This record gives sequence, C-alpha cells and structure tokens, in this order.
Amino acid sequence: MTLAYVKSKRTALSWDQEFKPNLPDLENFLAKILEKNSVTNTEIFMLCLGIGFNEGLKRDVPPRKSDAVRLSYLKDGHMAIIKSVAISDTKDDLVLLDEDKIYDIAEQYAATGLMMLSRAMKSEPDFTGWLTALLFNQAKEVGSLS
Amino acid sequence: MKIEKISISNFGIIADVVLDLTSGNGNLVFVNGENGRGKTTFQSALRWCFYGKEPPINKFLSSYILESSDSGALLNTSVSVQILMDDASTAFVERMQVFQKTDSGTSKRVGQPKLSIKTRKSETGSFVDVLVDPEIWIRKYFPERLINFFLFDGELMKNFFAISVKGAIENAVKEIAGVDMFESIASNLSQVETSLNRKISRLTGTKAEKINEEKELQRRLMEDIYSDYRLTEDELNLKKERKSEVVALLEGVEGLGLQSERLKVIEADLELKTTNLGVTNTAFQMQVLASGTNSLLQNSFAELRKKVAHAEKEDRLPPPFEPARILQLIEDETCLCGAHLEPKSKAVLKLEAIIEKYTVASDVGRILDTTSRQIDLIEVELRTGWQFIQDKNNAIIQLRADIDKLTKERDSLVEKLQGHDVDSIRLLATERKNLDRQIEALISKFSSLKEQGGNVALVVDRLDKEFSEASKGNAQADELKKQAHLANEIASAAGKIHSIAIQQVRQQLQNSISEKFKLIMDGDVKTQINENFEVRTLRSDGTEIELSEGQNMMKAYIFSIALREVINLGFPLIVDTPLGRLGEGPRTQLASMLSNLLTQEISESKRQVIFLMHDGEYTPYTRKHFADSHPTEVYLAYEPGFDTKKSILGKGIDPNWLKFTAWKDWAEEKIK
Repeated sequence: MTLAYVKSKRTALSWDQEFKPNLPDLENFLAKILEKNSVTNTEIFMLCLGIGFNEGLKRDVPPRKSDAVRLSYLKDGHMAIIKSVAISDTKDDLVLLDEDKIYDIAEQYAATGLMMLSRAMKSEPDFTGWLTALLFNQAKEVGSLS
Repeated sequence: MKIEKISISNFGIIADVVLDLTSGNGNLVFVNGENGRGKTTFQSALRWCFYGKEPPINKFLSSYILESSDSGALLNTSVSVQILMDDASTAFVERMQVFQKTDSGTSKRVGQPKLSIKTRKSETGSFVDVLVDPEIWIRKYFPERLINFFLFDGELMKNFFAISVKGAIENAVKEIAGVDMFESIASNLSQVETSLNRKISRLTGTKAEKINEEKELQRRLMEDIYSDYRLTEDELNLKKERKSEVVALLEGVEGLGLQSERLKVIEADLELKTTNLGVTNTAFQMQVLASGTNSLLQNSFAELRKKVAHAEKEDRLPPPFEPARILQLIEDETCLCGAHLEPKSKAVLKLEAIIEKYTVASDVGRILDTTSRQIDLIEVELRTGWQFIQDKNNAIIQLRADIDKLTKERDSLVEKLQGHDVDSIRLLATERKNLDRQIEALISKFSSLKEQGGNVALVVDRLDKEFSEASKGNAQADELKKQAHLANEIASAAGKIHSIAIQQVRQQLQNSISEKFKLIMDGDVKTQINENFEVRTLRSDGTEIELSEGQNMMKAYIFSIALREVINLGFPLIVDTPLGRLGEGPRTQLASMLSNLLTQEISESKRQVIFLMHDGEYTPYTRKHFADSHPTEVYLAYEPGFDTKKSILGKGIDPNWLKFTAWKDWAEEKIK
C-alpha cells in the first residue's frame, strides 16, 4: 500500500443541516455573553466541536455544504486541535495524511455539539449562565491542573 | 404701643380681612396659617402701610378682585391700622392706592399711594387729621432705620447677627443716639478748615503754599484711601453677608451641599466602575469561551502525545533522513560513496522500499511535529488563560461590590436630596468656596489700606506742623488761622459728641441685652457691641460663646426688645415664622426661652408681639409654652371655593389643622 498525503479540495467546513437553523439563536446568545455585536464562525464552530467531542458522540453530516467556517480563517492552533481530535478519534496518526477525513471527524463532533447546544437553548432557562458555568468549570478543571 | 385693629383690603391674597384685637389683652397674637395662605402678605401689608415699601407688583393688588371686576373699574388697595399709643391716645394710620382694570385685564395705578393719619386723645373723642405731614408723623413713631426691628423674618433670625445686621445695628444706634446732625457738623467744618488753610497759604508765601498743597494732596490721598477703605469694607461686608446667607441656606438643607458634591463624585465613580465592569466582563467571557472550548478538547491531546512518543521511539520524529534526497541518488545512479547504483538492482529495490516507508513516516512525523508544538502552546495558554480568568473574576467581584456599595450610598443620598434642587445646592457650595477666596483677598486689601491710611495720617500731621511754622507772621493769615482752628475744634467736638452719644447708646443696649440674656442662659454672660457694631456674647473671661441656632434667634429677639426699651418707643414686634425652620428639639427650646422672655416683657407693659406661624411651628406643644400669656389666636385660610386666590381670617385654630395628629389629640384633649 502506498500512502501519500491527500490534501482536501474543500474551502470551508460544513454544518449539520438539521440543527443549522438554530445557529442565529446560538450566535445571539454568544454575542450577549461576550457583550459584542457578533461572534465569529470560528468561535461557534470550535465551541460546537468542543461540546460534541467532550460528549464523545459524532453525527453524520452529509452532504458537504461548505457552509461553516472557512478553512482559511482557521489559525494554526485551531488546525492543531482539529488534527488532535482526528488522532484521538481514530487512534491512528496516519489520519493526518487525509485532510478530508480530519475535517469530516471535526464536522461530525461539531454536529453533535450544535445539536446539544440547540437542545440546551430550549431546555435551559438561563442558557447563557449554563454555558458560562460549563466553560468556566472546564477551564478551571484543566487550567488549574495543567 | 399696641395695635388694636388691622384692616387689609385687596392686598395680594388677602381680599378683605379685619383683625380686631380690642376684645382680648392683645399683647401676644398668633396669626397662623399654612404656607401660601397669606402670612407673609399680612406682614408685607403692614410694611407698606407704615413704611410705604411696596410688594412686587404681582403681589400688590388682589388678583381675585382684579379678575372679578369689570374692565375700567376702579379698585382700592388699602391697609389701615388702629394703634393705642403710649400716651393713651389712639392713632389711625391708613395707606391706600387706587388701581384701574385695563381692557387687557391687567391693572394700572391711578395716582400716587395716599397716607392718612388721624388721632384722637381718648376713646370717647373723635379722630382728627394730624397737623404735621403724615410721613413725618409716622417716621417719628416708626423710624425707617428701625424697620428691621419692627418687622422681622424669623427664617433669617438664626443668622440675624451674621446677615445684614451690622448696618442695621449701626443705623439703629445712630437713630437712637440722634446724632446725625453732629456727624454732619463735623464733616462741614472740616471742609471749612480746608478752605481757610488754602487762603492762609496764599497769604503766607511760597513755602507755606507748597506745604499746604502737599498737605491737601496727602489729604486727598487719605480721602481716596479712606474711600477705598470704606468701599472695601462695604464689599467685604457684602461678601460676608452673602456668605452667611449661603451658609444659612446650606445649613438649612442640613449639609446637603456636601452631600450633593458627594453625589456628583459617586455618580462619576459609578459610571467609571460600570464601564470598567463591562470591559472586564467582556474580557472575562471571551477568555472563558476560548479557554473553556479548548479545555473541552483537551482530552484529545493524550492520544496525540502517545503518537508523538511512538514516533520518537521509532526514530521518525524527526525523520532520520530525507527520502527525496536518497531518491535523487537512485535517479543519478550514484551512491554517496561514489559506487554505481544499478537500476532495478537488489540494492536499489531495497532502498526504494525504505524510501516509501519513510516517506509516509516523514509526512506523518512532520505533521505530528507541528501539531504537537501548537498543542504545547495551547496547553500553556490554558494555564495562563485560567490565571487571566481568575484575575478578571476577582476584579468583577470587587467591581460589583464597589458598585453595590456606591449604589446604596447614591440611593441614600438621592433620598435625602429628594425635593431639593441639587444643582442649586451645588452652585451654592461652589459660591461658598469662591466667597471664602474673595473674603480672604478683601481682608488682605483692607489691612493694607488701613496701614496706608495710618502712614498718610502721620505725614499729614507732620505737614500740619510745618504749615503752622511756615505761615507764621502774617496778621490776616493769623486771623484766618484762628478761624480754621475754631472750625477744627468744632468739627472735633461734634465728632466727639457723635461718638460719645453712640457709645452711650451702645452701652445701654449692652446692659439691657446682658440683663435679658440672664432670663434664657445660666452663668455670667454679657453682651458687647463693639466699634464695628458686632454684637458678641461673651463669658466673664471675655471669650466668645458659640450660641446654638435657637439661642442666636433668642439673641435677635432680645436685641429687638432691648432696642425698644432704650429708644423708648414701644412699637410692636411683628415676626413672620418666629421659630424659623428649626428642628423639633431647638424649636421647643426656643419656644420655651421665648415664652420666658415674653412673659416678663409683655405682661407688665403695653408691648405687643404678633407672631405669624406656619403649621410646622405652631403645634399644641409650642402653644402650651405661651398659654400663660393668654394669646389671641387667629388663622389665615383659603376661602372655600377660592383656593390660592383668596384668604380669609378666622378665630382660634384652623379647623383644617385638626387633620394633623397632634391637633387631633389636642382637640380630643389628649394634649392639654
């Protein structure tokens, strides 16, 4: 078998179409938390990825719509995390040779994250408080240990 | 002297009122009324009647009578007072002004106000016009310079000795001493002396003339300095008076000046802290989002680390060689050592297999390497990020606590300042600071002018002697010198008489006030009226006593009563808001002191006191202090159906006051 590095032709990542309609609400909530007019697609995608990965669940995201964050907007740190997620998911570092596979995995976890956040927006009376507490506690747990 | 009857017609809110005091003893009269019912108008009417001082035009002719009259109608405003004089005669004083209603509904005067005075020798006699000019008659019994001691404003009384009082007391003392003529003589003869000296100098040669010119120059300089000195003194007094007023106004709002300043600072601080909180909160939330998100993904790092460790173990991180370089050697068919590499040979095939394996390993290793380096950075950021979150969180907690504390303080101040014009209070506080600076500068100028004046006086003295020496030997000049000397002597004598008389009046007043003060204050207390007409209350060791607000008001009452005694004019004392705006405690204390004094002063004489009291002052509790004097009680209240337009006078206590708890208790005889 000859393995070679396969570069993706994609320009952007994709959302799960089922929960995509909830994105504007999520964006509003995040803007409210940050006291900003808007939040970036990168911030939303990475948050969804984090929530989904932390939950350990992936959802299929067919087809590739390229309607999420543009790949050129992802910084080196974001790409490193996405690759780290792919290795963790496949337990195989050869996954690094297949960019499409890496992005697929990230999109699948992000789809779960978006689904969970969509449900939380409906179920949590104080969604912003709930989300802040979740992120704060996570940052505390990791930041104070590492 | 006692007022027996007051009739007020069409004056301000008082359309038609008669206060008849002939039935009771009338020595102590309470004219009560809530704010706006006409108490101040009542006093204003008497001020106009006795002194011709008109109120503002909108408070002169009754608006009620104006509105209810036809266009062109002639309307009379009049105030008349019947007075039982000290010699048992009766005087009837009336002042009247005619107005006409214009087509536009306003009023215009018709002619000048008219004062008429009639007297009768006994109760059975008839009133006849006084023989002298009525204005002269009234000035004799109600001297204009003593107006402040006839019609008092109690609200200003607690600051009576600080505000406007110096001039009033100086006027009063001069009025009593009756020495205006001597002051005038002294001034006129000084001018005569100057004129004579000029003639002498012309007669006695150049040297004397020059000395006299210099002397006149110095005198003019002295006059200029003196004039400047007086102006400075007046300005200083005005500033001091204004400061006292400002201080009184600020005191009247119980230190709200400082509180309003504090409120301003708090509001600015709150704004700053609220802005800081917003900025800090945004920074906090952004870091929570970034660190929180990355922390959620941190579990993925372990597998990456494992792969990195494995790659290192396999010696492919970094790759042991560069596959592309070896591939180039195969294509060139030459080994590094120079040996020929035969294509498709065993060695070449083996090398190609190794190159293929390490090409993958190299690509993976390169990506692993850059990825793991980024992850290292992210892990550092997670630690510093958490530290940042903690710092911002602590800052937010502190800012919220500060804002909470400031908000509570602000709310409390706002509550205290409610109903007050905070901007005005701030302006007053600023004005007070400015006045302090101005007063300091004026005091400095005042001292400097005093010193300059003293120096010039010494020069004038010296020139006087030189002039006398230089002008010797001329017979006509010697004669003129005698005249000038005489003029100087008379001027000096008149000046002395003036100052002695004033000193005597001052002394009499001091004695009388000191005596009366014992009625309200224990201990060896005396009063001093110094050359600047400042009335000071001193202990036996000469140190000044700091009086409370109530005691200061009493001092004003005592001064006023002592003045009547010294001047031997028993005109009534009419006070608007006699207990001022004192708090409950000082008000009770003042009422008690006042009743002690009045019991002594009015019960054994024909003196009369009329108090115009508002509902906050005249309560069953203050009333009982004066019960022994058997006061006459009347009240001013809106005529039903004419609220704010027309007041009427009723006897006793205003029935509307029974809605107040204390008066209700009094009506039910719970308060005796």
